[in-house]
Amino acid sequence: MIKLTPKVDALVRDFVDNKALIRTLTNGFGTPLNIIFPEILSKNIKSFQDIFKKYNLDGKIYYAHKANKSLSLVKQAKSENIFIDVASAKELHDALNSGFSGDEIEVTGPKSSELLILALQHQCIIQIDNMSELKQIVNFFNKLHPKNPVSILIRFSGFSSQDTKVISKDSRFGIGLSEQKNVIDFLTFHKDIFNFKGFSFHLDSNTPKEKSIALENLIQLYETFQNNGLTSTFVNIGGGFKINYIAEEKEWNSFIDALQQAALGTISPITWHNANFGFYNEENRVRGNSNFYEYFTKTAGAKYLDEILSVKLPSQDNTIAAQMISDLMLKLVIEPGRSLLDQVGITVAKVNFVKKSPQGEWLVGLDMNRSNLASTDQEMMLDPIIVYKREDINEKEFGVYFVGNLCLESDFIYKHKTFIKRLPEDGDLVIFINTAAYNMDFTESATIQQKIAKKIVVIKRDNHFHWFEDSQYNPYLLDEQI
Amino acid sequence: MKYQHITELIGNTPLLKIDPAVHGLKNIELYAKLEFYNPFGSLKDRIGWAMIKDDLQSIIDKKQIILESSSGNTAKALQAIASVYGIPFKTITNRIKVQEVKSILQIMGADIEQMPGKSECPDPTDPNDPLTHIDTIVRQEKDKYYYTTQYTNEKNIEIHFETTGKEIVDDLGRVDYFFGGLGTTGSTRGTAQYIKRNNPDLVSVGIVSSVDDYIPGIRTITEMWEVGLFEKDFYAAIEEIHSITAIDAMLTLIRKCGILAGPTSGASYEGTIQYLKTIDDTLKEKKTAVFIVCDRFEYYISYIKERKPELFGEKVRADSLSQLKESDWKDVPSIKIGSAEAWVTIHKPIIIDIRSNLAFRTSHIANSLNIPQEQLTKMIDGAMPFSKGQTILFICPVGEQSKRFAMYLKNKGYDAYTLESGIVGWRDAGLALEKIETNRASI
Repeated sequence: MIKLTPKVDALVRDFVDNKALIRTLTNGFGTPLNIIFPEILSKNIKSFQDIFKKYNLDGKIYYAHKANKSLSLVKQAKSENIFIDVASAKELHDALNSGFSGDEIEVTGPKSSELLILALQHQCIIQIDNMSELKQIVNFFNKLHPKNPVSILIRFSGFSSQDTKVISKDSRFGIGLSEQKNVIDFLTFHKDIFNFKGFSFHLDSNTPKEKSIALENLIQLYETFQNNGLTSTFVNIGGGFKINYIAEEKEWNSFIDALQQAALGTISPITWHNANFGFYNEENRVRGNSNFYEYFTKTAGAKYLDEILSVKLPSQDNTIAAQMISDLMLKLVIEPGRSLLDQVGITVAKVNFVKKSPQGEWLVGLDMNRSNLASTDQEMMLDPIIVYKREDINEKEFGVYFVGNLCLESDFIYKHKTFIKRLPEDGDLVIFINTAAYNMDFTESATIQQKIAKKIVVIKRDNHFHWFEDSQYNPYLLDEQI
Repeated sequence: MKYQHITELIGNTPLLKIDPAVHGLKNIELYAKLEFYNPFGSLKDRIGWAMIKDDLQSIIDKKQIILESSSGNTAKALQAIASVYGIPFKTITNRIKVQEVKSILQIMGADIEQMPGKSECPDPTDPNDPLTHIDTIVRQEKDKYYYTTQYTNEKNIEIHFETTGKEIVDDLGRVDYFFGGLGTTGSTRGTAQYIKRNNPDLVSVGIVSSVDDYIPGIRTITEMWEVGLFEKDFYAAIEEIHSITAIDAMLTLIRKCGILAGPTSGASYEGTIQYLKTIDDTLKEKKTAVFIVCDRFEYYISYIKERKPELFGEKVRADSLSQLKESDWKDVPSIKIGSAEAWVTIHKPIIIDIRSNLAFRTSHIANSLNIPQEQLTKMIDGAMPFSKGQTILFICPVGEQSKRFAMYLKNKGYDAYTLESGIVGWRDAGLALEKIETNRASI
């Protein structure tokens, strides 16, 4: 029996155990329903700040709004005195509406003209992805005449190493290193328009070697730009600090082992139509890699930041990254999205039906669809918790597939089988844990006019739960309201 | 003994009996097959030679490049043999995790390409393992490469059948238990198949590393399905060993038996003892067991250092700089940023900037001297590099790391200070910084 038991925060556990309240909320707001626990954000922020302290770094956290559309989380971030990273005009509106001032906002990602203009008007920090953005900024600057030059960070990509040949994949993001000279010339020519703050990197690969290569490239960039009168004061190492979703490493390993064996055909399939999730059989051996998120990881969140900062740089006498950053007098910017939202939300859906497929597989139909839980076409590999209406039914083992409310063969919430001790029935509730980061609303759609999940904020004070509609929550009003 | 060619030295390795006082087994004689006696230093010399010897002439005639996915011993063996014949060799891997192994391959002249690690946001349509990557390369330029495919090459099994297994049976006769690490699984399968001809009741045990741990040259159980030669049912048991226990067992072999085995052999020895301990008491007659010592420990010093730093601990003097605790530097003499410039003008201190050379090169306070903190610590703990009549000002990024130095020197009677809030404070106060002009970072 394959289990993928989720890690559950104590507060979330308390809430899940409060069946009456869950019933009230799901009856009142319908399902799918997203529940958000904004106060868990504080804990996650603190864990990152502890790492800054450990290395005496002047660190700044920019909450990557794209991980969740919730306004309450944006307001919570503001009340925690961190900063925000926005990637669309609407996200920028959210930040401004929640009280962030322009200089507390970093604009990242692919940018429309509308977004660039708004960013200039509010004097946000802009992370530059390409030369065209720089040219557009000059154009808009000359029309808008903002009070101050535009603060920019430049994202470079395509790093290489002097001592190791690393086959690196091409990236759609950032400016190639070979274009350094163009960037320097452009910024020098327009030095009244731009306030160059430094560079932005993404260190999301899981090998220390690649991280050290990126950091060594940063040092080269730092010097080259400085030699041309452009001195960095910030370095942005992006996000990608990960979450560990799974309680037991053993369960995760057994799951991967089972997927590989199923690909080989040595055990019966544990996925719908034996979907391979990246593994395939070639001459009776397993090829390929899993193509989903590593839901179990030993090093996640602040611990992962710690690991990045302690990477040794061979070209710098094995100085660690944190030392190099502080030696160069750089402020460290991180943009955690996922890791900041660890344990912050859950997704609840009513069971619509339970049936057997013509070939004998158990299907549990939920009042939600794949778009309500998927993130960039990836499903969660994490057992949900089932809240049954009726008690006292004998337990045995069932392998079930959770399917959605769309009239599509492909609408599976989980294409991997979940093993449970009791079949649910219609009206029971299925609760997916730890969904706030990218899994709650990243791909949600109102296809065939199915409803989009509402978001309800839940906080706990003096042993009592209080709830708010997402837009009604304001951390600054809590003391008066409760 | 005279030899004509280095490849003649491959194989015919010794079997050494392990002293029962070391392993503690009463009814089992245990032998170590010392594969580090091979000329390039490991068990893999056998397959390196076996996989290419029949096709040498054609590889040379076609001007092919030998290609393999290996992070260590197979690459070493293939590189050594290829060099002798003037054939280029290239390895593509994502598994080189030990710096010395890479350095050795570089010294030998190997062309190494590393695959990137898995991304935090994997693209579901992007298969990214080295074997798939190699397949693509080979498919694209079929004649350019001679791909040895150690993970599926039957010669990998055959050579161990013909040599390793035969040597063991020739030397020992009946063998009851055989233990070996599982990488490609060629050595355990080939060797055990030969031994089985002599004793069909042979028990073969495979050794793997704990999941999420790393032992050079062997895999974790979850990685075994990627290996084309792997057959789970071939093994009576598969023992999972953690790298720390492997190193402990390696130390037993080194310190008690004089066998200078590496960590992978340590894992094999540990797996052997773990398995045999449980059956030793139940045995009614004497039995014979063999395990493989695949290579030596010298290639893995950094690996061992990472996992067992205590082995390398030097004795630290109680009053040395590094022993000074944070609680000891509360009253550190420090110069406030506001008065720093004037203070420097009046006292003319030696200004020591303890940041890295690179940071110093890019920005520093005028008339300062750069001694990075690690070097400075060594200098101070060796012999004090300052004289007492001088005033000294330590500069670090934000005034934290310099406290240790200023405090230590003050305790020793020196006139030493730290700059409060460091060079960042200096910069933020708008005070002058200068840089060294270099040509190093030109575009």
